[in-house]
Amino acid sequence: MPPKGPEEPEGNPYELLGISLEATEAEIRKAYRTRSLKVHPDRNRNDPNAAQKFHALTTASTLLLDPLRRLALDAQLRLQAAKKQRFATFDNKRKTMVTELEERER
Amino acid sequence: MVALGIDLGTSSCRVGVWKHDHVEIITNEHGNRATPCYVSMVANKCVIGEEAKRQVPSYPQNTIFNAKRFIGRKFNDLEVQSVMKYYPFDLFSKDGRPYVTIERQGQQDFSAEEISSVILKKMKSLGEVHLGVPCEDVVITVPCYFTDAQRRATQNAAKLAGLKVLRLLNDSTAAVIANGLASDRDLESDEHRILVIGLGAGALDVTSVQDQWGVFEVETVAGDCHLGGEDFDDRLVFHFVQEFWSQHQKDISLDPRALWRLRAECERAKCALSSATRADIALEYLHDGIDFYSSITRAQFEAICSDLFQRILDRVEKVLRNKDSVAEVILAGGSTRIPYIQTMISKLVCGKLPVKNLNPETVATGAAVMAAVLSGNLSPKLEDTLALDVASFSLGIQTAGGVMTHVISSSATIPTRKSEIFTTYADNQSSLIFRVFEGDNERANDNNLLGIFELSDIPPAPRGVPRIEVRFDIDANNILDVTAFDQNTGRMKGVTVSGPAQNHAMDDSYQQFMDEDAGTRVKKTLDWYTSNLRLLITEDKLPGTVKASEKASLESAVKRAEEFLSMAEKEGPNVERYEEMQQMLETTSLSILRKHGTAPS
Repeated sequence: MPPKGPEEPEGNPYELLGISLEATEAEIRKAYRTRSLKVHPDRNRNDPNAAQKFHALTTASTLLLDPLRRLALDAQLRLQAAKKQRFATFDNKRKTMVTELEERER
Repeated sequence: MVALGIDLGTSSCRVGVWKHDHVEIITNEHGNRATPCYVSMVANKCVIGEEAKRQVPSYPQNTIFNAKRFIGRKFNDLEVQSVMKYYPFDLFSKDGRPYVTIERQGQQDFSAEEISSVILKKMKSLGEVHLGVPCEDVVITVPCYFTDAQRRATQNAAKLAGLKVLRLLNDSTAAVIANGLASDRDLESDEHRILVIGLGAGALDVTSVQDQWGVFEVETVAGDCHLGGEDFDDRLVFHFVQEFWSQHQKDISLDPRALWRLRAECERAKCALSSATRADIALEYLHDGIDFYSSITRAQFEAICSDLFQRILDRVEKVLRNKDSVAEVILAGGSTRIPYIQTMISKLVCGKLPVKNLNPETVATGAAVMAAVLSGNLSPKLEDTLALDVASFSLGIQTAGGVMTHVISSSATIPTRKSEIFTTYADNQSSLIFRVFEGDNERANDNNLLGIFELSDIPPAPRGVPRIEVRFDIDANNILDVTAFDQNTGRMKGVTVSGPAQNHAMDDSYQQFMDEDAGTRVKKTLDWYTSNLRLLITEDKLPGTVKASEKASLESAVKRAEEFLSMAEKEGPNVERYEEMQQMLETTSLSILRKHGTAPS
């Protein structure tokens, strides 16, 4: 199995940690610890993917605890949300056009 | 499944187990909770612990201690060279690694792994006797600054002792776990930063940990795995060797027995200086019939060890510098009882913090808790216990100009993995050599080289085009695995990064030796071999093609062996003659049997 590229957390770190976009640092750390109790390989001896899951959790929390990276992530997330919102306001014809365009571009 | 927690220290070893919802420290056959890490091998007996320690004055060269100081090290390491001369046993270099040589029934060499494995085996049997069931799984504690090689060597020692290592736990992490479990702090309270300073006989560990309801998150570690009580002893020994020289113009460093007695007395004096301000040394007939009386004051002791103390404080400061919100300081290990160290540490943390001195069994307790967690113990008390440890060293690869490119930085939470992309620096370069290092220095060569590997058969391409991904995986034991992967061709190269950990220990002969002494072993082998051959002859199971003359020569060889065996019974064992006889029997029988296609296995 070829290894994956340089690590960037998969999925949304906020979702992974189960916290809101406004979470404080203390809350992030707290969430990290509660979650790690569930996914850490030491507590899941029989789960071969535990190390992977725990690693994803660690990457997510280090990202969020780094103010600069968190800012960048927040901006990206806001952009995505805005795009989604805009999309929702489109009428059906435009929606189909956008989807078809994205399909072709893929 | 029950698992043991073993605190394998430099000078003593403890074993604990989680039982009835608390940790029990297991006592040895003398009723002591700590077993000295001494192994004494005289004639065909091997004794461990208290007895071995008592044998040092009688057999100074056959009794090995402080094996942990040599484990996983190279012979030329400064740490090995600097302390060698204070030890009564002989260390020499074999494949660049330190071995001890022991004179018994001819010369025998042992690596530090083998010595440690004997001790671990003893701990295992103590645990088994206590529990009444066989027990293989263990958590062993190591100083956090143990290098990759030292960790692997410790694992190796455990393997030799027939143990399965669930985890190599850092000493200070073990101390924190034990401390956290013992304290009845409000579990809902906020995070709580603890500074742990562990200073035992051999190593210093400084760790800062965040504790929140049983989850211990290690933040930073610093340490030195060759700085501890034994070094203070060395200094004292050196001091008194000089004093003896100036009084009597005699060098006692060449007299192993005197050196050992002086060492024991120095250790006693050092402990006394923790409560008294002056300690006396009295050794009758120390050397050449000369009595040696002297004394040392606490101030003198502090002066001769001042640079060592300073090194300790530097490490503590290193951890403290980035962290100023420490809520609690805990001290673990015997050497933290030294008053000077205590004062300096409380000064460093502004003198207002509660500095808690833990009992010497904390580390073993923490290891036993960890062992329970890892073996799936479902006690409600352990429900929320989890230790998140960090990588002790930065790990990386040497790149152009001898610069160290860090792939994983120290204080990254483990287990972890990280990859970097590397590329070629010349056109049509077909292979890349990776030199993997551990350490925090910018220049690769100032760090510790873990291993070298090569990824070859890179398809010709201009420089900078191939994309070679190198992935570092650190497991929870802080042991590294490296994989290189050519993203264009899919070629992969995995390496187990470890030094040339050759030791003859891995073969069966060593295992057998550890189980029974050499004399019995050779006798058993010969006995078994002879009786097997005898059976072949009497029951007429020899192949039909065997000629009568061959049968006769076989018969006579077996007869000689049988006579020898019955005679040797009376004479007592003589390993060499047994081996000679075995050799004779084997050459005769195998040459005949092979010819006819039936060689006994």
